[in-house]
Amino acid sequence: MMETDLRRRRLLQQLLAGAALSLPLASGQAAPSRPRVLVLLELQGANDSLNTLVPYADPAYRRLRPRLAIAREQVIALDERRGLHPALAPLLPLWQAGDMAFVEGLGYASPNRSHFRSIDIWESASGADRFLSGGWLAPYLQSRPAGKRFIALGEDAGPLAGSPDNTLLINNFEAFVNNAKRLRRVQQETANPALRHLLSVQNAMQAAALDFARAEKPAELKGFGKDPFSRDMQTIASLISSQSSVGIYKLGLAGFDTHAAQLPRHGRLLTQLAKGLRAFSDELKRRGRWQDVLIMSYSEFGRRAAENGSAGTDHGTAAAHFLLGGGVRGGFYGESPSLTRLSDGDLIAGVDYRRYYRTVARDWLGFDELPLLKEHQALPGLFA
Amino acid sequence: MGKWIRGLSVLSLLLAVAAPVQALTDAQARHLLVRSGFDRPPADYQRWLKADREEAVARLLSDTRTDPALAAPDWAEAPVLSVYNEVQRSGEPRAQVSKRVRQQQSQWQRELEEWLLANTVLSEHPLAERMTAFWHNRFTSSFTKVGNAQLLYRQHMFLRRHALGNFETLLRGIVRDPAMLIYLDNRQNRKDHPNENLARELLELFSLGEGHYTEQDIREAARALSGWSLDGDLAFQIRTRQHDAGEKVIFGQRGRFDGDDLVSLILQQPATAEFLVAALWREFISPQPDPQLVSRWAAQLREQHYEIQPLLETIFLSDAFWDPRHRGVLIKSPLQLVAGTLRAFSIAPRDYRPLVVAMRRMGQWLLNPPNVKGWPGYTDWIDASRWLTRRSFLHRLLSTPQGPAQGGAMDNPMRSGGVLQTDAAPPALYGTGMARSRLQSLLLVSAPVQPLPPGATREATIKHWALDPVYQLY
Repeated sequence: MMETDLRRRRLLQQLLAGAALSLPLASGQAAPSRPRVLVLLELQGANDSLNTLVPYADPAYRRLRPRLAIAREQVIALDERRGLHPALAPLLPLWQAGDMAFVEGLGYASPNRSHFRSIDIWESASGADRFLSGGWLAPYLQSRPAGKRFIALGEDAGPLAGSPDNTLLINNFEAFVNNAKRLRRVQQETANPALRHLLSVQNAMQAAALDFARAEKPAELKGFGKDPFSRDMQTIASLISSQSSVGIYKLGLAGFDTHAAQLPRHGRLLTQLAKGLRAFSDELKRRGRWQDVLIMSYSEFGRRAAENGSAGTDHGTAAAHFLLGGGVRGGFYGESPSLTRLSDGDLIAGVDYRRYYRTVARDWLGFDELPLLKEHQALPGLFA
Repeated sequence: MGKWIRGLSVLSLLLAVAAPVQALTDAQARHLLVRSGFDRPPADYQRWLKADREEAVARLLSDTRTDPALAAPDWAEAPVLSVYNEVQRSGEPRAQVSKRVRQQQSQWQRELEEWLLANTVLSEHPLAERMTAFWHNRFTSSFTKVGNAQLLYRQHMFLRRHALGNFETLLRGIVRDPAMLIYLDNRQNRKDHPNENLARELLELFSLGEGHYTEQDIREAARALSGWSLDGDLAFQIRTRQHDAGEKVIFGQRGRFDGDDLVSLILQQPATAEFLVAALWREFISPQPDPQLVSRWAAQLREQHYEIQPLLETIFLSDAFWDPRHRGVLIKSPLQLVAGTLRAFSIAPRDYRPLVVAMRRMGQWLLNPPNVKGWPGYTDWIDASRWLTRRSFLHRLLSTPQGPAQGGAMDNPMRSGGVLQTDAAPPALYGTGMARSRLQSLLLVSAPVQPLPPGATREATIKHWALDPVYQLY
């Protein structure tokens, strides 16, 4: 009976995938080469990647997680070892189309388990023993020609911090456009760097707001949910569709710090995540832009291999992250961490996360000048 | 040409002899008082204008009281509420107690944030407030990690008490401060399981700065601090069995050092004084410290046994401080912007919560710096989101009439005479009777960059100035 269920589900998923695949053929095929866009997605609070990309065939998985393991028949198998959490079903068509890749075993040496410290490490591309202030992409942003823009939606710029002349941190997009377009453009030479900074931020905001005001209103894009994550994805989709000058976006989905009663909460989060990403990819395919867009996930750390006493998981180390986009060569990359060879109960990171970054910087953005990534080898073959 | 210059200097000499010429101008008085404190109501500057630099700085430093304007919140001095103590006392299950304690502490945290801001707004000792904030941003701790508002209150009172005092006292106290020991994990620093967090930050951020110690020094410093922990009531306690009493080598010196010895060794390093002087330079003079002056003042600081007040006197009397090229080159922190604006326009809020929230959106969540390095400040204070928040805060504050002040804990009795009680928006009463040009030089450090709309009323003009980018500078 379970087998039939599974087969039925697969069939349904393949049908859905077919539907999604047929869309870009209509409009996207002959698209001229357009500027590439990167979307950085922070899974805030540390996503439990063992229950996202599930090592369902490994008996150790069920041993470590008697209460939290996803039942084998619910897992959406991607190969003979790994499968998706059932809430990620909307992403299966993307996987099947070869638009989704997982990079496994990401982390860094001497891992720090504080949310704050570890997200600083990930966002600045530093090691455990160094404090760096800017985001890891700052040198890239600073080197861009005038007129290019970068946007972080939410409370912090994260990887985009440190380039205020062309990076906008936007809390509420509509309020930003309404308020910033009323700012005055001030053309004034000044020898005072503090004043120069203020004026350049103000001028950048005003110019961006005028640019964004011309874009299609995000609310006019169909198929997106009403939750904050879907709305952020909707905003980004509308800006990409309207050919705005934004090259990189950052957004976050919060709530992954699942120390207790994880199953229902994590399931809800992954549902939100998958629906938002799916609506986004459907929209961009319709607009013929899916080939130009790459979404990359990251998080402060993974969670511990074993469940804790409150049916949750505590702060851990290594994690798997995903890349989505028309230019991705789907599949598995990195190293699956062993579930039997643990370090103090934690998965051992086989791949320094900066290799993941360098791959994206070099092969997607075409920029290999980030000093902090120099000594980390890119992962081969991630992009078609 | 040469003759002309000579003529000019003779003239200025003559004028200097006639004392009033050296008296501070509006711009100079503003510079001294805003740099060392916060914006002020226009009338406040009056009594500083007759003084010259020496007199003004002496007056500024003569009042070294650091006590808070407001009485402590009633929970602040009560026995420390901790999960451990509550479980002992009530016998309830730990999970239940833990939730209750967390909620109580969060409530107190919010009260503490409001209390801190209110004190800054109401204080009669602006320099003491600025220095207290300065120490908080050197010896950082965050509520998110510490989780105990009472301990953070005590840490605050310690920093406040010694804000203008002695750096050695501060450094010795901070390595015994319970909130700090929790924040930097020193309770986990045990003889056979060292935790280097406190040792590392003590050297890197609190005293020497990067590049003036080795990784070996850090490991050994951690050993010296092992066992410096807390008891069940979260008071400082040296757990001798967890202390590594063996021999250590720190900065090339050998001995059975403990935490106190470590602080003494740190204070012998010239880099310690230089690192502190450079930070004070960035706080009070400009973003780029002058290395020669920094090392000269650092030597003086060591000769004066790390007394802060004489150092501040040197800073405030220096040519660098008064150099017109250094005027307006710093960016107000959210605390300076919010407290300074309330002070300048004599607004005594009845509810500080919205202001705390606004400051948080401007990037300064009181007692929750972004990381152990604290707020980087300067240009980091201004990005798109923060700039809009600053503008909308100013716009709303200065457009809303301030109704009659109601008596309450937050209203300062000492200032109630000056509190606006009117149906008009604050700019209407700003510096009544003074010329516009004069008000501009008291409100702004240099000419506004945004042109005034033609025919702007006096009230509209003042609000316009406050919304000008130049108002963010000090």
